[in-house]
Amino acid sequence: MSDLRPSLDAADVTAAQEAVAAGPGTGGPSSSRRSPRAMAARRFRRNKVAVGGAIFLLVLLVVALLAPLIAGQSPYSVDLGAIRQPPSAEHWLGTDASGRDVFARLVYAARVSLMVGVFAALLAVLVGTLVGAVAGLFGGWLDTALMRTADMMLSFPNIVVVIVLAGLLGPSIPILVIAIAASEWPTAARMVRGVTLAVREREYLHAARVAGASRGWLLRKHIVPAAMGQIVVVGTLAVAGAILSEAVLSFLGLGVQPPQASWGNMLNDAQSLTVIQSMPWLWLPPGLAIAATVLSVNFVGDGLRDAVDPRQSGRS
Amino acid sequence: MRRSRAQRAALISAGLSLILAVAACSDPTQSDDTGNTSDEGTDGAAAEDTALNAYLYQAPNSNWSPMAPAHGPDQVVMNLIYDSLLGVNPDFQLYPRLATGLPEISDDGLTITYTLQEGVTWSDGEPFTAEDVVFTYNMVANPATGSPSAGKFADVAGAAEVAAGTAETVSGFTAPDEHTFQITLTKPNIGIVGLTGNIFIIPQHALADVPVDEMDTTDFFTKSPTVGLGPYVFQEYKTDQYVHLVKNPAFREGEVDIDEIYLRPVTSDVATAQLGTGEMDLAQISPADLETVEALDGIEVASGPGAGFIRTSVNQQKPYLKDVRLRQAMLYAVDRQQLIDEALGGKAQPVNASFMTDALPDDLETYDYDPDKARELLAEMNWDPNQVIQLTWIPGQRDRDTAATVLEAQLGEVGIKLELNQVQPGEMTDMMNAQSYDMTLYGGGNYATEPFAVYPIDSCSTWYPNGANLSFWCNEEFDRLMLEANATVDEAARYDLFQQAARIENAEVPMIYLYNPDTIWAHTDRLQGFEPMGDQTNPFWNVQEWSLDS
Repeated sequence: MSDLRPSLDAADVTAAQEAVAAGPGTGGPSSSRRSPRAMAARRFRRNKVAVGGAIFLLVLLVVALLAPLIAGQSPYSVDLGAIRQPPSAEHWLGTDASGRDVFARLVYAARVSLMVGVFAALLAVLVGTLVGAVAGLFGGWLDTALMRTADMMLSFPNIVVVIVLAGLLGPSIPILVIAIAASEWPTAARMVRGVTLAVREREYLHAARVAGASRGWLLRKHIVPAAMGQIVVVGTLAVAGAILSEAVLSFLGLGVQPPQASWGNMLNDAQSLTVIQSMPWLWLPPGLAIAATVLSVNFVGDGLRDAVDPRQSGRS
Repeated sequence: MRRSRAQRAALISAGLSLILAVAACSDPTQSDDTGNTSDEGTDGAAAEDTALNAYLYQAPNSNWSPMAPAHGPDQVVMNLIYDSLLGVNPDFQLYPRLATGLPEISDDGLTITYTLQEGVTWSDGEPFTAEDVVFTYNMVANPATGSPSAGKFADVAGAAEVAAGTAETVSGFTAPDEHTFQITLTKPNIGIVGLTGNIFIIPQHALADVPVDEMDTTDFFTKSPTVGLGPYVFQEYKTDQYVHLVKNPAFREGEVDIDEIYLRPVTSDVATAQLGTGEMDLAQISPADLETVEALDGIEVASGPGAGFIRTSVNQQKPYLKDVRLRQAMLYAVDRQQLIDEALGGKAQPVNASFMTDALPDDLETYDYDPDKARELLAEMNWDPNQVIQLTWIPGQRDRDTAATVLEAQLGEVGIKLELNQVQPGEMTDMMNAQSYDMTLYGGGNYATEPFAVYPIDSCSTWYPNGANLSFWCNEEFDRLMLEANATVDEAARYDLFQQAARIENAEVPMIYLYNPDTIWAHTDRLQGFEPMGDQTNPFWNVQEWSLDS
């Protein structure tokens, strides 16, 4: 660190580090003996709904990781002798139109849905953070160009953007991740830009700048850490959006391709009148899985926001 | 603000799975009533109009030209807006339409004479004459128009000169008088009546000024084929939503009863659901939905045996797909009988060669399910289990989608890695033009009326786009037998040659035969006069006898 800022003396370094550790909005040294992080964790733990959501997601994560052990059968093995069978001891959730085990497919689909959700949200947040911070820090025409682009993306209906991208580039999981991220990054970008504009005027930032800190250094050491709490919140909520988008696209046939299972393309079966009327085991489980997962992610996201930024918690 | 957004997202997510599941797809252009009034601009004024909403099994390619590569959904439209000399009935027998009877063939087999009906006019009032027929046959026989059927006319006098570009019109197509059309052949060709009698006749007066090489892209065929002889007149095509047709007052059998037809390209699942809601009046349904649909109020079900079949072409332009043992192994590896019995509820026939009826010998290899034999064949040819083969098809028909899944799984079990690739019709055409697919799943055709119809899908000279050979398979002995059969006037000898050709095809497996599905139609009981047709491209073959109660 000192090699980056050779002109600073030791006292300055300590002051700057304290500012980083405390972060903006936590009220400085007088706030408490506890670190802000610990306080946030405590606030999160008190939020029962959020904790419930987190536990559900943890269980889901374990299920996804241990899919081969839990499923017991291959999600791809076709058995034409047993198509569209109702739930039984052998097939807990019955079988689909080509005799594949629905439970095995549900469990393996959790992998796809979580993976797409998490990676798409990560990518969106990464791009959004970079764009937002650069726009806020540099200002001027660059800010205008970046933010108007973000506004343009936001003014399109998300799902249309994703459908066009998936249609143009052909359906596959990487394309799906990119397409969903492309529709979600502006939210993160605008949020980070807002934080950047606020932090930019703080004294400690002026100090660092006067001391000769480069913009890249400011970005890494001050702006991103200051926005981190909110980035996590936006990112978490983006996961929920991404899981939904994946389900919608796969349902429409533009997302995860057969024979790979995803909750969305499992629901695709439910377009059949026969299935919707008399074979609930084919569409109820993936439908509930989507609903429960997205709900949990949103609860966790809400909980995190309240924990990171308690001033918001009373608002509706 | 933020919390409410989160709550909204949660609600949406909870609702979404249910909404998606329940709603399937609903067409925004469609009113909620049962569709006995037309969708646009009928606020009671034209309440007596009857409009039929019918299922179109894929989106059209919007090229309604007899010179365009055959695309089933476009054929459905053309069967309504154009007419032909002969038609094919549900028994797959030829019957006269614009002609007064089946053509007369001279004793030496070299002259075919059609007598045309008198007093027929085009939908725009112009008289229909034998000159229109000569014009149409000249266009279809000329490869410069992009016509993939040109090869069918090879034996017509003067067709070779046109193909070579040294003549503009085929001298063998003549109109001795206004109501007679004659085809003169250089050698006997028995199959030509069955293969070309049902070509859609196009209006010379509307197309005479279009240069021959622009025939395939002219607006008349791609946007507004509004002049025809069929029972209906083309109105408009709203992309991916519907093809709108209105009745032709000048139709040769008099005005039809149903005023308008909307052909709607939706998936078979959506069509079935719409039958239940009354948004769809006529649809083709999947065997899996048969029981559900039979239980619906006011819906009648009827089925007809098919004359084509579902298959996957194996592109033999790809070096790794050339070995015949690979294709034989594929047939042994797939349990086609169980696919028919279970997934299709028995509503299909097994297929082991493209030939049907008397042209099909009874001693063919049946390729019964035998995965060990498949593995043996693959081991013998040193098949590389890491070689991925892509199977491309247009999704949306439940039985085909299931067949693709089964192929992927069962070929995978014997060590053939299949990758499923769903595409839209336009993309499929591009891949066909570039010969870039490995395998493609499709169906259709009519091989029951005339056995020589197999020639265009199998011969060395009819590789796509010169014909419909999508496997790019070539066997000279097969071609020789087929051509000889087609030139043999004696019925018994002719069919014997077809059977010999069938044995070669059966052994060489140019395509993976899957099944010949019965075509199951479901329609509202308000629709009278419907006769089920096994050819899914021509459910409207007797539309002039239909009526729709309101």
